[in-house]
Amino acid sequence: MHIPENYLSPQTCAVMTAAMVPVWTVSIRRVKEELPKVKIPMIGVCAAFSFLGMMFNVPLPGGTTGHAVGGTLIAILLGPYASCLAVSVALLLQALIFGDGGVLSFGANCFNMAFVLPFVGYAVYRTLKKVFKGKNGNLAAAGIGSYIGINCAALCAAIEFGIQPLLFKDASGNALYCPYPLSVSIPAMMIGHLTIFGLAEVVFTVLILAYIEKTSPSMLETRTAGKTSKAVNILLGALIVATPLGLLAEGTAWGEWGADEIAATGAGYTPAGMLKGFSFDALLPDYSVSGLPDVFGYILSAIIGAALLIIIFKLLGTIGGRKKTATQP
Amino acid sequence: MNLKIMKLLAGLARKDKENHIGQESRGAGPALLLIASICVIFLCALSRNAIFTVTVLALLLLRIALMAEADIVDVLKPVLLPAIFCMLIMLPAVFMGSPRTMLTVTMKVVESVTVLSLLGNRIGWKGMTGAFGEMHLPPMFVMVLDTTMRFLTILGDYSGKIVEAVTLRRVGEKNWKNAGTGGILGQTFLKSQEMSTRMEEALFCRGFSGQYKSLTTHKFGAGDILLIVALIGLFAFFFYTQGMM
Repeated sequence: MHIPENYLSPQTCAVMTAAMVPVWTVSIRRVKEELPKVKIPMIGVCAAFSFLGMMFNVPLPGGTTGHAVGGTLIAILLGPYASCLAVSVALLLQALIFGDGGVLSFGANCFNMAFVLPFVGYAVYRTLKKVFKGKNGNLAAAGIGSYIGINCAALCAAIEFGIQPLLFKDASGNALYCPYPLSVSIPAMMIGHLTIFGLAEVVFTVLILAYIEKTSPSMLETRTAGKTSKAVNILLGALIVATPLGLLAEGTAWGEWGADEIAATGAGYTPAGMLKGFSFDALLPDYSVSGLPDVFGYILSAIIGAALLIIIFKLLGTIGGRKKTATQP
Repeated sequence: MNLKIMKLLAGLARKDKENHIGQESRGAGPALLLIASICVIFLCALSRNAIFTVTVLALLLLRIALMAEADIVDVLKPVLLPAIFCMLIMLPAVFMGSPRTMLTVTMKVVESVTVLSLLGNRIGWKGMTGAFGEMHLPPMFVMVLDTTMRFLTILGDYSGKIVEAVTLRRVGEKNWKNAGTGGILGQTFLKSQEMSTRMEEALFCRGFSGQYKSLTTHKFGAGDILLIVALIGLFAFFFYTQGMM
């Protein structure tokens, strides 16, 4: 679901970024007010989970791939505002260091995956938690919430793709950016997310939540200090080592083709905006290190991404957050 | 200015918080850690491609991510200024069409400073001078280093007190012209002369022979073996990546 560079017009990117500015502002303020200071480093751990989840590509018949995001999981653990910040920082690292998602389209990616996904997912979770009682009610609510959340995010991405040919055309009527209209983008995005990718999000959310409930229940309490337990660190380490499994899925996700690939996908031409648009050379493009096997590059990228996220939020924890513990909302 | 001196002193004292006298070091010994750090810095500097540098960066980030928040701040604070300075110096490379050169050089500088910062955080300055003694470096070198670190703290505290006294007694607008900076520095210099004479007399009275002995009771153990194996692996990886060029 990462929108690459030049798939959205600069105007669309500017609007989406402007829409995210108040969301980020409110999220920062609410996290500072509501989350205890000692819990802020945990946002980094959760962001690392999201980052690693996005590296596990899942194949869909037809040659496309997708991935889980984990935004609803973070919202359940730390609240939707913390989830917004966690996923935003993870997306920023992916765009700047790994070239996954565009720099100009960062605002749009955050709108879909850091705002729509966690807030919708969390709202559904909160509502269903009152309905589903019993031992596994929490997990069922989390699974359904994450499924609806990721599909709402995918729908937003599909709409952002689909309106480009309507709004931005050259003199000959060809689209300047994404060439696929709503009638193509919505089915293309939603089919995958309503089936395989939505299931991946549910599995990712439910499995990790169940693991944390069993091994580190203190992480679910906002009153306690919530230091990351050994079990969680072990899980993070296992996910890092397992990230090369994402390489098994061949093919490019829908809407993430390179400028040299898009003509062959059925568009018949390469939009002018993609040929002459903004380009950014990431340090480790596509999570690979040139000259080394892909597996090694993937693991290195996973280590760098996860470690950076944990460090960033540990540093932020020394300056931000409330000093007193908060009551559970 | 007084507050900045105090903050600097607090930083120095906090970095040297571990007292190894009579205590066994955890994990690898200070001398081996020092040798390993120097090796890593040399290998990063000699690396001709980004593969080795990126791998070392990943390992350093992993190490830092496992530390407590206060230690992360201590380790990363000295890295910030050299990183920014290096990026500014290498900025022309970006305009000349080679941004990766700027990134690679900056990465090497960041790694070198981070390794030293991690070492200082791990063993402290006292451990470092003990490690130099274990490595049989010239005692004069070790003594100069040890004395410099000690007197940075002592003289910094002394000049801080003079500044505080001058600030309390000053009348009128506060600026560098009427702060008596020359007098403060001169007084500090005279005090340092007096202190060095007293230190020489005290060392003579206590029978100091000029030899530095490490007071840690570290025994060669699993931590040292693990570090040696890791170092050998790093060297092998270095030669493998350089051979790929």
